[in-house]
Amino acid sequence: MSTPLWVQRTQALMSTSTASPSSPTRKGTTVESVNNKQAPPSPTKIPAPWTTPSRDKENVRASAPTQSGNSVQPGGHVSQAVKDVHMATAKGLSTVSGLPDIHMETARGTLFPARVGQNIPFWQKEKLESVEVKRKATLAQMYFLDYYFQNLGYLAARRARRAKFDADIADRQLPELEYIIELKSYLSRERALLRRRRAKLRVEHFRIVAQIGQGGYGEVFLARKADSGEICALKKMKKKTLQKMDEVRHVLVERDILTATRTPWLVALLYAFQDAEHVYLAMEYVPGGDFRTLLNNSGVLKEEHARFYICEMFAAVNELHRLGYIHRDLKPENFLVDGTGHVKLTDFGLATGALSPTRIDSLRRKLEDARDDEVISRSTMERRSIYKSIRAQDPRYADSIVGSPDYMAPEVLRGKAYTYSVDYWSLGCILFEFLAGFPPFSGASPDETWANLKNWQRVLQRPHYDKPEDLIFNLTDTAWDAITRLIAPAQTRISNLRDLTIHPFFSPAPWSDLRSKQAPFVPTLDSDIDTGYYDDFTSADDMAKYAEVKEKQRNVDNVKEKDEPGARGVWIGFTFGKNGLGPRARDGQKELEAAARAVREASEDGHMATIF
Amino acid sequence: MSSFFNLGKTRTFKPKKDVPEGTPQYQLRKYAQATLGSGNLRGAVQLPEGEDVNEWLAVHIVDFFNHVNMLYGTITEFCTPQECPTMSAGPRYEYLWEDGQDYKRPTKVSAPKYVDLLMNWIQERLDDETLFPNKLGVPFPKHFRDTVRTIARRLFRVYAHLYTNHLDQIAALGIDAHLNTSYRHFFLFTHEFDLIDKRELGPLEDLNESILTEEQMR
Repeated sequence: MSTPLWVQRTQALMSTSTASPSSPTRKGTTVESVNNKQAPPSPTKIPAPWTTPSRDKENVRASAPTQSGNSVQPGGHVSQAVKDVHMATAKGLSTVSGLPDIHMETARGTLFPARVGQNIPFWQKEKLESVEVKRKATLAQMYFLDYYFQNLGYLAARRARRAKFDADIADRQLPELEYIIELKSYLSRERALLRRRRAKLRVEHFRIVAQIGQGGYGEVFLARKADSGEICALKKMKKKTLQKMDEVRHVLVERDILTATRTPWLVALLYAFQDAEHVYLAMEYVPGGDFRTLLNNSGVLKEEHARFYICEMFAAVNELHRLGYIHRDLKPENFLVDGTGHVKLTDFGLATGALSPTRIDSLRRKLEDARDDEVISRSTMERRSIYKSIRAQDPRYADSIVGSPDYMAPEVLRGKAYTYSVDYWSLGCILFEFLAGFPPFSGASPDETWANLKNWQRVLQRPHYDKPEDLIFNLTDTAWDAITRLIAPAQTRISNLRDLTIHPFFSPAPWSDLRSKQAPFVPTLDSDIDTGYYDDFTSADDMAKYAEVKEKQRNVDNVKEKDEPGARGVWIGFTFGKNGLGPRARDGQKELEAAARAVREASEDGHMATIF
Repeated sequence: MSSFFNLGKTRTFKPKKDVPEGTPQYQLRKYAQATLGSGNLRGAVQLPEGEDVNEWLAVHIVDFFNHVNMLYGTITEFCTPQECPTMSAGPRYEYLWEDGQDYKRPTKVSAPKYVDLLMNWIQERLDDETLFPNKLGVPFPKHFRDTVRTIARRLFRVYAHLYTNHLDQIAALGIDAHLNTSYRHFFLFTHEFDLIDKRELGPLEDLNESILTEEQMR
C-alpha cells in the first residue's frame, strides 16, 4: 500500500491549536459523583403482617415444640443448653480443634415441612425473580451438571486406564519385581493427576511480563501462564473497589458473556479466578492496542479504512446483541486491533440490563443541569484542535471510573427506555471521529460537552474544510448520510445489521466474511509478548497519561467501605476454566442451559429428585 | 415417627424418569448408568485400588467445599441475619462458632455470619500448602485425616442448614435436585471414610438412613 493508512494531520492543522483548556472541573466531577453516591435501592420487603418471615416460620414449623430465635425459647434456656454442650454432648466430637461448638438436643422429630415450596412469602418470591438470584441459580445448575460430567468422565477414564494397565501387564508376563515397579509408576501418575485436579488457579501461576493497562478498578498485565506457557492479558480487579462502586454486576456480566461464547469478534476468556482480595480475568492477549491509542497517535482515517474498521465494529457489537446484551457505553477504547489487524471488542462489563441507578442519576442530572447557552458555535478547525489538546492533556480520560459521555446515546443519558440501537448511535459517533478527527459533541470543557449532548440536533454538523490542502478531510455525501442515519433520534436511527448493510456507505464491505479481507494495517510484532502498541508503564511520559486515572482511583479508595453482608456470595461461580466451568462447558453452554431448565422443570413436583 | 418428606424410605432420591432424550441431563444419566452401574454414587466414592487415601480425601473435600459454596451462594439473599438469626439445623440443632482466634468461646452468631466464618475457615486450610500440598511429591501432614474430618463436619452443618431452613427457596430455584445429588454424594463419601460421627449427623438422620437403605437395595 503506497498511501499511508492514517492520514497524518497537516502542519497547518496542528498550528491552529488553541491554548490547552485545563480540565480541573473533571477531577471535581469524579470526586463529586463518588461522594454523592447513593446507596442503591434495597429490595423492598412487603410489611404485610401475614407474610412477615417470622410468622411464616412459625407456620412452617407448626409441629415443632420450640423455636430458637423466637420468643418461645427464653434466653436462659439457650445459655443453659450451651453449658450442656460444654459438659456433655460435644466432648470428643471435635478432633482437630476440639471445639464444643454444637448445641443439640437428643430428641428427634419432624424437621421438615410436609410439603416444600408452599411457604414462600411474598418478599422471597420477588427476590426469587430477581436477575441476581436467577443468575446464580443458573450458574449453580450448570456448575453441577458440568461437575458430574467431569467427575464421571474422570472415573470412567481412570477405570479404562487401569484396565489397560492390567491387560498390558498380563500380556507381558512381567516378573514380580518389575510388575511392582510399573504398578508404582502407574499409581504415581494417577496420584499426580488427582493433585493437579485439586490445584486451584492462583495469580502466582502467572508470570507478569509487563503492565499494559490501567483502569479505574485495577490493572491489566501481559502475563504468561507458567505451566502451559499461554500468553494472556490478565485483568486484576479489587473486589472492595468493585463493591464500593456497585460494579460487581458489571464484572460478572463480562465474565458471563465471555464464558457464553466463542467468536473472533470478542476477546476470548481463558480463565477467571479469584483470591480473597481480587478477581482476575485472564483473556486472550490482543497485541495491536486499542483504538484510542491508534487515534491519539494518528489522525483522520481515509474513508475506505474507516469503513473497514467501523464495519468490523458493527459485526463485533452484533455478536454482543445476539447474546442479548446492550453495551450502551461503546467508545474507541473498547475496540482492539488483533495480530492480523482485525477488530475485537473488549470490556463489555457495562453491557447489563441496567446501569447502576447511581450512574443513571448522575448522568441525567448532568444533562439536566447543562445549560443551552453553553453551546458555542465553533468552526471545524477549532473543534478539532481543541479536541486534540484535550486528548494531549488527558489521553486516557475514558479509562477512569466515571468515563466520558461523549459517545452515549441521549436516551441512555436521560435514563429513558432504550434498545440495541443505542450502540448504533455510539458507533455513529466513532465513525464521525474516524473521519473528522474529533467526536461529534466534544467541547472545550465537560460543561460544554454536556450542553452539546443536550442540544445534539443543533450541534451535529458536517465538518467543513475550505483550505485547499485540507479539502481531503471533507466527508463524502455517502459517509455523511451514514453518520446522520446513526446519530439520529431513536425512531429513525438505523438499528439493525440488515438495514445497515444495505446503506451505500456500508454495502461495499464483504459482510459475509469481513475477517477474510486483508486489514489495512497489520501490527508489526517482534514476538508474542510484544507490547509495543500499548503504553509503556515503565516510562514516566506514558505514566503521566494515567495520573488522573490513578487519582480517581485513590478517591475511590477513600470512599468509605460498604458494609456488605454476604460479600462472599457475589463472587460464587466466578471461577472459569479450572475448578469451575471448563471450556467444554462453554462449548456446550446452550445444552447445559437447556439441561438446567429441564432439571428445574422436572423437579417441580418431586422434591427429592436427583440429577442422575 | 414421620419420615423424610412423608416419603417412604425407599422412594427417596429417585431421579425423575421423564428426562427428554438427547438433553445433556439425559446424557448425564446414561453416562452415570454406564459409569456407576445403576447410577449410584457409592462406587464413585470408593477408593480406587492402590490410590493414596489422603489424596482421595483431599480432592473430594475440595470438591464438596466448592459444592457447598455454590449451593449456599444461591440463597445468600434469603439467609440473612433477620431470617436466620442463629445457625440452626431445624429447631433442635443450633451451632455456635468458635475458632480459637477471633472467637475464643463458643459464640452465637447469625447463620450468614456463621457460614461466612466457616467457609473462610475452610478456605484458609485448603489454601495452606502445609495442609493441602499442591506441589507434586509433597506429602500430606500427619494429622491430615483429622483436618479433613473437621472440615467435613463443618460442611455438613451448611448442608443441614440448607435442608432445614432454605429448601423452599432452593426448590423454587430448581436446584433441589442438585442439592440432593451433592448431599447424597457427600454423605456417601463421609460414610465410606467415616469422616463424621453419627451424633453429628442428627439433623439429617432420616435422610441419611434413606440414602443408605436405598444403596443397599440396589
